[in-house]
Amino acid sequence: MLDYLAQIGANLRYSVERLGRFGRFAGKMAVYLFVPPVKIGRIVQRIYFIGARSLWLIVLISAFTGAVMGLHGQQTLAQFGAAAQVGTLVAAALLRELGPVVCALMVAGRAGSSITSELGVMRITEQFDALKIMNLNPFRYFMAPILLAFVISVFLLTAIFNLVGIFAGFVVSGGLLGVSYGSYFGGIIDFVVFSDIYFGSIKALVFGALIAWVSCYKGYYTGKGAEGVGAASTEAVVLASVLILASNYVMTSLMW
Amino acid sequence: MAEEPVLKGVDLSVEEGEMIALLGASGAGKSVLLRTITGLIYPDAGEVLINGKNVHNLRGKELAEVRNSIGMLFQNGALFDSMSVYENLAFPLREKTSLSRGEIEDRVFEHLARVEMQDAAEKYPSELSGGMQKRAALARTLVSSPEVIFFDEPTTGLDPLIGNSILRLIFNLHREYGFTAVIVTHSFQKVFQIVHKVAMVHNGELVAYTTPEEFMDSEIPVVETFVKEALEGPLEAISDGS
Repeated sequence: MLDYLAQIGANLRYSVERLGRFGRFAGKMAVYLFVPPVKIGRIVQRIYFIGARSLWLIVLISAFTGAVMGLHGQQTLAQFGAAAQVGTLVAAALLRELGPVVCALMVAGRAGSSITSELGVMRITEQFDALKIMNLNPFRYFMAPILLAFVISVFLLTAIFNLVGIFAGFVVSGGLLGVSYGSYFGGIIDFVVFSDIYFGSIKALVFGALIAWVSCYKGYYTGKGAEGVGAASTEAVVLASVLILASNYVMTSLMW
Repeated sequence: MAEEPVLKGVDLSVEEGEMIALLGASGAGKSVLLRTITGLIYPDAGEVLINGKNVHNLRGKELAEVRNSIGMLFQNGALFDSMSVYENLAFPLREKTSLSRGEIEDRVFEHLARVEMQDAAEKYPSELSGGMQKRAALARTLVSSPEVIFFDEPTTGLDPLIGNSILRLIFNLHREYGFTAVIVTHSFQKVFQIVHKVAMVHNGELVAYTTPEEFMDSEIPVVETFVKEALEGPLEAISDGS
């Protein structure tokens, strides 16, 4: 019985320690963002990888998302005689929820897992140890630029996602189902408020930071060998996705 | 749950300019000892002094000073795979010194020439053979002019000819630069020709620290067995339980 309790205690202590390490990791990433000189070149390089190379994926996904929203929205609203309001529906849904969430999930899957693998390989091949021996801090050279790059990239990609989604919604509901340009975009101008854009943007910034945090943490503390790196990448995507969806609920309930 | 210490009772001092070999069977605790000495692992007890300063108690500038005085050649080189060989050498100079671009270039090519790698400056680590990676990593270690260099299994994974050439290179560079060196290895015959002293770790304990000649004639049972097994065959007898 005592052994059993000791085991529970040991597991609890281990979990709390891991949670503490996870939290400290985020703190260090944030602190090193402000340690000069800022590594502009590294940040731009990361933005290219995370943002620019995810662009076409985001355009494609947002076009289909907007199109399906336009299709469903028009058909559903038509039952209530409000088909002209489809633009408002598409824009509000994208700006508040779908844009930041779907975009972040896509970026976590594409770039987040890749960053975890990259850092994981660096860990198992002792490249982080080499940096430490050189008295160079991995957080300054890798984690902080990755954090900033994810935040900027997810923010910009979300904006693109929303724009493309809204236009794709119009193409379907307007071009195929007969909703006029004026009522589609007029509805958006009349009913979508600044806070929709503002809060949606805050979500995008938070999601970007979450993806960076989880991806870097899982890569930095990866398991042994190729198997460990593979597992870390999968865990990073799963954890980032869960955190994105959970934090989205919390933020939505606080914002609206 | 009981935790078995990896190292216990290791008491070792290396004089300035000396080159020592740290021997032991696989799993004996050599690499852990090396990582503890370099400050990559914090020990539960004990202290490591480099130039009289306890590595594990230092922070900020003092830690930077000690870190800047040491270098390490990792078992697999640990070259930054996203950078070319040139970038690997230039990186620490660019980040830690105020040298101009031209001075950095001169210094990088000077060190690449020392290891006969100047023609591979633009290559990436993945394009290099194991021996070339070791030489490039050695050049990167030397480019910051460290006073103490730790070599973690410098010949492991290399064929005997390349392994010998790496050891010869270490020996020549030691003569030229005069750094203090600790070489971790489990194959000692070649290393014995270049080191001043030999330390042996067994089951986490230091069982011998003496000259190569005395080590070969030692009557300490585990040392005798180690020497005999190393000369005649596999180390199964000594690695049992380590």
